[in-house]
Order: sequence, then structure tokens, then C-alpha cells
Amino acid sequence: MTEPIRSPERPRVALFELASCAGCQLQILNCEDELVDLLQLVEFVYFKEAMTETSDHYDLALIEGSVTRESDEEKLRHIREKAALVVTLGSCAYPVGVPGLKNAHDPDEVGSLVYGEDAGFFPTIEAKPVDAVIPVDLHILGCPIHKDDFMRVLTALLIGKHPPVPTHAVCVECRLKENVCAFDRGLVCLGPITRAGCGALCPSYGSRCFGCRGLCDDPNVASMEVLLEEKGKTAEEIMAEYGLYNGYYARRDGGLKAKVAR
Amino acid sequence: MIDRVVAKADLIRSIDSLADKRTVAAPVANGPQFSFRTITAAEEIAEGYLPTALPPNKYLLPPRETLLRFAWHEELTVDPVIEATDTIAFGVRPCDLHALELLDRIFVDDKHDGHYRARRERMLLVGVECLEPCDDHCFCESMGTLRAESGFDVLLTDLEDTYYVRVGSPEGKEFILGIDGVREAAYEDRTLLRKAHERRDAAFTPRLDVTFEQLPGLLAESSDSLLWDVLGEKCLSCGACTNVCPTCYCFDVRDDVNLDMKSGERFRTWDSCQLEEFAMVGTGESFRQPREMRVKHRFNRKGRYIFERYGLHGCVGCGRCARSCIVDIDPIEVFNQLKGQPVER
Repeated sequence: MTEPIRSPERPRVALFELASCAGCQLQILNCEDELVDLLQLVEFVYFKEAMTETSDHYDLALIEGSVTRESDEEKLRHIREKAALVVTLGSCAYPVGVPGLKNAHDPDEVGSLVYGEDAGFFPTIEAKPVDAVIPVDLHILGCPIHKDDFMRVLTALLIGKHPPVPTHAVCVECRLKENVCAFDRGLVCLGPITRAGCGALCPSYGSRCFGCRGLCDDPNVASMEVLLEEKGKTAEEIMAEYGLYNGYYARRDGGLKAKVAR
Repeated sequence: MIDRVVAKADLIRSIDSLADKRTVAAPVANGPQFSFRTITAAEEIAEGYLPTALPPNKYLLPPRETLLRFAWHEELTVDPVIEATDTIAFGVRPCDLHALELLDRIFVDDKHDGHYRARRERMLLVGVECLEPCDDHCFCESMGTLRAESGFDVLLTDLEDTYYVRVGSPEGKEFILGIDGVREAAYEDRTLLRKAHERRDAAFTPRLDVTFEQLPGLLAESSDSLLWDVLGEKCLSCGACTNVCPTCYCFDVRDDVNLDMKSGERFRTWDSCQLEEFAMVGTGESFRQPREMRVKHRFNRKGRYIFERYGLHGCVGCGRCARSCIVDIDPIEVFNQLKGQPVER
């Protein structure tokens, strides 16, 4: 090492919101101990939950939420042109998360359920992850994102090193916590195919993994489905299992198996 | 060294008072499984425990460990971080004692790992002999790890109201002589020990169709076996088997930089040959991308490579990997199927 670690000029950051609960933005605002240091490193120029000013000039675009309207797609294409780096925040942006649940239902029915007689004024499309519309440089995962994850990724990007995103499954972290495996507790769990990084949060509190971080790099989906069938799950139930967070890719041709085919 | 005998009640009192002053780690029940945890009283120690979810290695090579901290202000400063406390590991099974001998060989004798060594020097190993098999997954008898002749500071054998104590080190002697009521073993005690061992020897039967000395040859001949493909299709690559394995010690080293961009830390975390990234190089190629190659590699590490390199057990037959495998991959079945006597599923 001959050069000191040096902060570059403060990159301009804009945070955009699509269909989501805004919980991931709040996670950033929850970084109370780090916000002062963070603002030495980057300049936020658009951040709806935190400030009133806006700007159309930014280097890094953070995007929260799923695409659910045609106007979202245009917005994303505009952002992609403007930003040097596009990073998504949370499960809605990738792999699609809770907004994707509506894809399992008739769009008209869903529209009138939410907007009643005014549904015609709010045309929506199939919920999609951001990377189904524009190329994405990096996903910060989770429902919601973890603030430490956000800080680690951001510092890595500023240094110019490969961001530390785990490639392996949640089980790796779960075993290190000496949790009793959800399968041994009579549950099914998506831990074996879901990307780690959460510290196996849900299984550590007596629940199991719902797949909010999407597939890991190298999931054995075929074996996972045999396992779920052995546990008595029907094809429909397996789809419902995936559907909570991974519905978009699970419903494409070939399902999640096709998503990982190399 | 002279064998001793200690009444169970006296040992319990001693552990209660030691737990006030030092870290005493022992197997504690956690639902249907067991974990080494720091205890505050002997009554927390589980009875009749299966091998713990993670082996006691976690006290010597923690799953995540800071190795050094660095800072660049006027100039670069690098401070090694070595954290070690006096720890008594109580209730370590012979299989785990064998595994720790391997880790000592690698991290103390071979690699001079200061972090491991500092903790090892301050750890007292109190072994407890197994007198009956754990369950269908254990195969220590076949691996030659049911009996421990070394690798402990003291080794206890349960003789109902008392423990027969073999002493393996000066520290172990100090530990046992510090217990009120301990006495030298007499002829009658040795007779009771012998009878306990006879009962044990009758209770444990070999589970493998090969001896552990034959495993390296068997695995070398089985390189092209179709079994690896079958296992590769099944394996979830979740890394459970290697995380829980007492002889697995691979780690990854990474740096984290703090938000001040001037300081940070270097840490290591457990790694696993079952993960795709493990054998990946800087340009993105993985030398063991196909899952079946990773599975084959693990069994070769366990049954062949380590034995060939160190003459020590790469697998101690504890059965942890089989117990934790969600898709029921069990080394007993794997080794026996390679030997050509398929085990019924």
C-alpha cells in the first residue's frame, strides 16, 4: 500500500422510490450514528423521505420499489441514462418482493379491490423488478435492507473495490448460529436457495426463510423442489412459497430453475 | 501420570466455583440439539448429549475473527488483534479430541497461527469418554476415534457416582488436584473402568465396510464413480456439512474499511469448499464449479487427503454432517456405497 485511503470528491446520490413501503429509505435514515460521516462522503441530491430539494444531476442512483406502471419504466430509463451507477435497495426492487403478489391475480380484480370504482384512473402493469427494465449494477438486498449492508456496500463502491455481497445460501449463516434447522422443526424453509447476508435473521427468531433476498449464486433449485415435494408440498404450494418474494422470476417460463440455468 | 477418581458431586461443586472465575464452556441443550455455551453453573450441562451443533473448535477458530486493525492518519499503523481468555472446555467427546489434535497440528505445529495458538494455550480440555453410540449417524468406532489416548488435559469416564480421571498434562493435573475430595485410583476403580470399557466395546460396532486406513485407497479408486454425480444432483451446496465439521478449518480473509475511509479491520470467516466461490480465482473462473466435484472434494478431504498429508483423521466419525444435511447425505452410506455394498435408502 503506497497511497493513503482517500475519499474521492463527494459523489452525488439520488434515491428514487417505486412501488414499496419506503422502509428501505427509512433504514438509511435509521443510520443515526453514521449519517454525519456518511454525508462527508456523499451528497444526497434527491431523497424524498429526507429532504425537499431535488436535482436531476447525480452519479449514483439508488432505487427502491417495484415497477408497477408504464411511467415507472420511462422513469427508470431516464435514471439509467443519467447515473453512472444504478443500485437497487430491497426486495421490491429485486427480486420483486411483496408488490409481486398481485401478479398471481387477475389485474382488473386487483385494481378494483384497491381503487374501487376509480380503478380506471390508475392503470397498472405486472409488477417487475428493476433489472427487468434496465441494467442494474448492484442489488442491496433484504426486506428491508440492513443498514450495515448499505454502509459496507457504499464504502466499497467509494474505494472502488468489489462490494461484499455473499454468493452463498442463508444456511451457511444459520448453521453458524447453531439454530435448530427449520426442517427439523417441521417447517419448510427457503434458506438453502436464498442469498445470505441477513445473518439468518428470521430462522434465528424461530421463524424460517421466506426468500426475501432472492436466489443465491448457485442454488440447486431442482433438488430443493424435490425436497419440498417430499415434505408434502404441491406444485401450487411451492409456487406460493416462492411467490411472496420471488414471484416474478418463479412465474416466468421454466420458473426459478430457468432463472439459474447457465 | 497417576489416574484419579473424583465423586460427581465434588466435580459439580468445583465447576460451579470455577464458572465464577473463568470461562467454562460445556454442552447445553438447545431444543433437540446441543451447543457448547459458556455456563454459569454445572446444572446447565446437558446429560447424554449428541455431538454439539458446532464443534468446540469455535473457541479456537471463531466463525468470524478480527485479525488486525489498520489506520492511515500521518502514517500507516497496523495493530494485530489477539483475543484469548482462560477457557475450560468441559465434556469434549473423544471424536472432537481427535479433531482438535488435527487442528493443533495445522495451526500450532505447521502454520504457527498466533491467534489460534494464543487461545489454545489458554484452553483446558476436559474430555468425557463415550460409553454408548450417539445415534445411527455416528461411526467413530470405524474411524478409530472412539478412544482417545492423548489430546486432553483430563479425560473423564462415567462410573455412575464417580468419574475415573486420566490426566494428560501438567495443567490437567493441577485442575484435578484442585478439586476437593479427589483421590488416587485404586485397583477396584481400575476394575470398574475396565468393565465400563468392555461394555462400551460391545455396544459399538463398526459401521463402515472399510477401515479408515483403507479409505484413502478406496477414494483414489473411486474418482470416476457415478455416485459423485448422484450426490451432486442432490446436494444443496448449503455448506452445513463443512460448517459443523470438527476437522474443517478453511477460512477466508477480508478487509472492511470504516466510514472515515482512513481505518478499518482485517477479519477472517469460516469458508466452505462446498460453496461455488471457494475455488474461484480473480478472473472469475472456478476450479470446482460443478457441484459433484465439490462433493467429491469434500469426501476426499475427509477420507484421504488429510490422512495422507498429516497421518491424522480428516474425518472423526462424529456424524454431524449427516445429522445436519437437509437432503440426507451420510458419509456412512457414501463410503459403503463406494465399497460396493449399497445401503438401503
